[in-house]
Formats: sequence, structure tokens, C-alpha cells
Amino acid sequence: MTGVSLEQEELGVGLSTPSAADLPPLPDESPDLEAFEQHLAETLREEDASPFGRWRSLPIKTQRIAWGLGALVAVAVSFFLSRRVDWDVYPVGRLALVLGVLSVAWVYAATRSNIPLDRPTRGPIAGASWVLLGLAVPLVFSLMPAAHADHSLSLAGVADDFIPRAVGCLVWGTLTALPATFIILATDRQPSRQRRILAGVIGGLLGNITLQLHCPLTSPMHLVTSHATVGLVLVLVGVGFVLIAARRSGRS
Amino acid sequence: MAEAGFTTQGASSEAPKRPAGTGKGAAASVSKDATDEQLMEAYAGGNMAAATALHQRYSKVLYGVLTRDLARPEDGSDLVQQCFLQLHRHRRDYQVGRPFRPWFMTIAFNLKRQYFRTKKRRPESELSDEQQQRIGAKDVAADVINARETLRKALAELNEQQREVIALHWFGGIPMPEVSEIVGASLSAVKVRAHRAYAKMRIYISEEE
Repeated sequence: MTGVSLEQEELGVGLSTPSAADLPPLPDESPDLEAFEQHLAETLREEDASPFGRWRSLPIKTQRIAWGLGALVAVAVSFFLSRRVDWDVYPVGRLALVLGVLSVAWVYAATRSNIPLDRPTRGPIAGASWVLLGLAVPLVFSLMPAAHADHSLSLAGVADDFIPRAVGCLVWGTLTALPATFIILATDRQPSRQRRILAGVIGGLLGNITLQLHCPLTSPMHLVTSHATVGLVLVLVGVGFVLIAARRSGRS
Repeated sequence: MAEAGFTTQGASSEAPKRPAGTGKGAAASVSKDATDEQLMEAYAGGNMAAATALHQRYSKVLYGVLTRDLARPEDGSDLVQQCFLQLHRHRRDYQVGRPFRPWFMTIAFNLKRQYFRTKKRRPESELSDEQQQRIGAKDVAADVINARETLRKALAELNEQQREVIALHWFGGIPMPEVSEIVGASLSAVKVRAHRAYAKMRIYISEEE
């Protein structure tokens, strides 16, 4: 750059507005705009006619309120209608820690998954990090030593009782997380395989919250196999839908 | 002479007092003098004629800004379609009074970064071979093809940040302060990137000639 010192260049100080005046003229890149606009009109009509088109076009705030309410309902059902029977003997500090970390993780991950495109976007490393974190946090809590052994039901879920209890918790966690997870998926403006995986993982965090409120079993084996795996189940469900949808669109 | 960037009709500071369009649906009319902001406000309210007006104003400039560094023309058509689809999905998030162009260009550039990061097509954006042929440029002279290829290779000499600044400033004719807002960097940083980018391109193009 003629007449510009290195210091000026480094600091951006005193730089004139750059110009392309002495570069060759730009070649025309225009396509057939009429055909383009016809296809665009068809695309927008299909979008508005699709089941999730209207959901995707809702304002971001409304979307967040919707999945927030879905999560609140799940938590309320677990707490008010089916609270863990060992509630009175469960260590308060541990309960606060587990619920606090899971709740903050869920709110933050769900909000970040819903960022509009006019904000800075997340790179693939950040996305993968969220998936790993979403799976790791419930696993870490599940691997901690049992919270207590002061309630007879907390010691259940072993031997012949292991599988029925595990399946029951897996179903509970998955079903309670489904409404909010479904809303997050339905309102996603950029659906992709990676984002569906992330939504499943986020759902797993919510499932672990409801299970923490509902399930009295404290055995790490039970927690690892049926609580920490809720996210994996939701991911498989989401991936399954993607594969089915892909096959259908391939056939049509 | 370098092609001037596409200028939108109706500067924000000269907004006419009458509304861009009234009523919802495709039948509602829009004023040709409406600013981009007025059109977007009407679009957010359901006026699809306002949407069409915005598409017509921005289709060509988006093609110019987003697609010159692409190897495949069909990726460009796909990408520009996605930009308008995302505008449709984001329309109710538009804040009335906010400048439209930097908001929309930010969406477009974020989409482009993500689009090629994941390198996957969205199902709703799939264009058939026939559609790609119709939308792609027809009857293009050899010298235009050569010029495009030279430009594309010159752009490949730049890093992503420099390419974005060039695309907005040169291809889009967008002033530097607005470019800095769109790419999320300071005005000084954007000017430095532009100076370096133009210098690299001059060197490359002169060597090619």
C-alpha cells in the first residue's frame, strides 16, 4: 500500500477508504431472475403450507416461551404429581447442585440452539462441544457415589428389578422431555442432522431434570443406564426421523 | 469501470410518509418509492407483495455478493434461495426502524458461512436439474466465463474475512461503516482487510494478464 506506514496499516489509522477503481470491471453474474423468482415463490408457498412452516416463522421470543412452557409443564408434572418418595431424606446440597447445573445447562443450550441468523453463529467445534457436554453432564452426576441409603425404595432397582426400573425411568425421562424437545425441533429455522442431534441431547438434559425430581433410586448403575442415556435415546429418535424423512423424500 | 453496486430504491432518510403497503396477502399493493424498511415492516405484517418487492431489489445484489467465489453456479442459486427463505422465517424478528440492509446481509453471510461449513443441502432447497439449468446463466460469452474464473481465482487468494469485505464493499457497493456492522468488526479492521485484499487481487490479476 503506497504511502502507508506499517504502523498505520497495523493500527488501521489514517487509512483512506479502499477502492476497486483500477481493477477490471465485474463480470455479470446474473442468472435467469424470472425463473429464480418463480422457484422462490414456490418455495415460500411450500414453507407456509408445511406443518412446521408457521412454527419456524414465529418470533424468537414466542418460540422460546413455547419450549420454556413445555419444559415447565414437564418439571411441574414430575414435582407436583410424581415427586420422588425419598424427597425428605435426599441431601439438599446435592439436590440443589444437580438440579441447578442441569437447569442452567438446559436453558443455555436450548437458547443457544435457537439463535437467529442475524447474530454471530456457532462453529462446528462449538456445536460438537455442546453435544459432548450435554451427554457428559448427566453421566458425571450418575457416576457420583449414591446420594444416600436412607430410604428402602432408593435401594431398589437391582437384580430382577433392574431392567423394569431402568426401562421405566428411560420411558419417563424420554416422555417428559419430548414436548419441549419437539417444540425446539419444530421451530428450528435451519434443520439439519447435527441440529437434530443437539436437540436430542438438550432433551436429555431436561429428561434428567424430571428424573431427578421423580426417581428415588440412587444406585449409580441405575442412573447411568436409565437416566444418563435419555439424551442418547432422544438422539436416536431424532436421527430415526431424519432417516425416514430422507427416504421418503428420495422416493417422492 | 467497475460495476457499481446495486442501490436499493428509497433511502431510509428519504422515506415517504405514506405506508409501504396496506393489508395482508398477495393482493396488497406496495409503493415503488417505499424504503426497504417500510417493505420489511409490511412483509412482517403479512404483505407478500412487499416480500416480492424485496426479492426483486435484492436478488441481483445477493447473487453478486455471495456467489462470485463459488466454483459451482448451482450452489449460488441454492444459497440465494436459502437467504430469502431465512428472511421469510426471520421476518417477524425484524425490529421496526432498524436498517434493513445490514440486518439482511448479516443473515445472508452467516448463512453462507454455515452453508459451506456443513456442506449439506437442505431438503427444501434442492433444485432439480431443469430448475438449475433455467436459473443458471444462459448463453454466456467465453470472455465472461474467463473473467468470472479469473475473479474467482483471485478471490481464492484471500482469506475468508478479506473475501467477505470485498464481496460487500466491491460487489455489493456497501459503504465501509455498514460493512463493519455486517461482518462484526471495527471500521479500522475492515479497512485494513479491504486494502490488503484489493492489493492481493491487483497483484494476482496483473500476473494473470
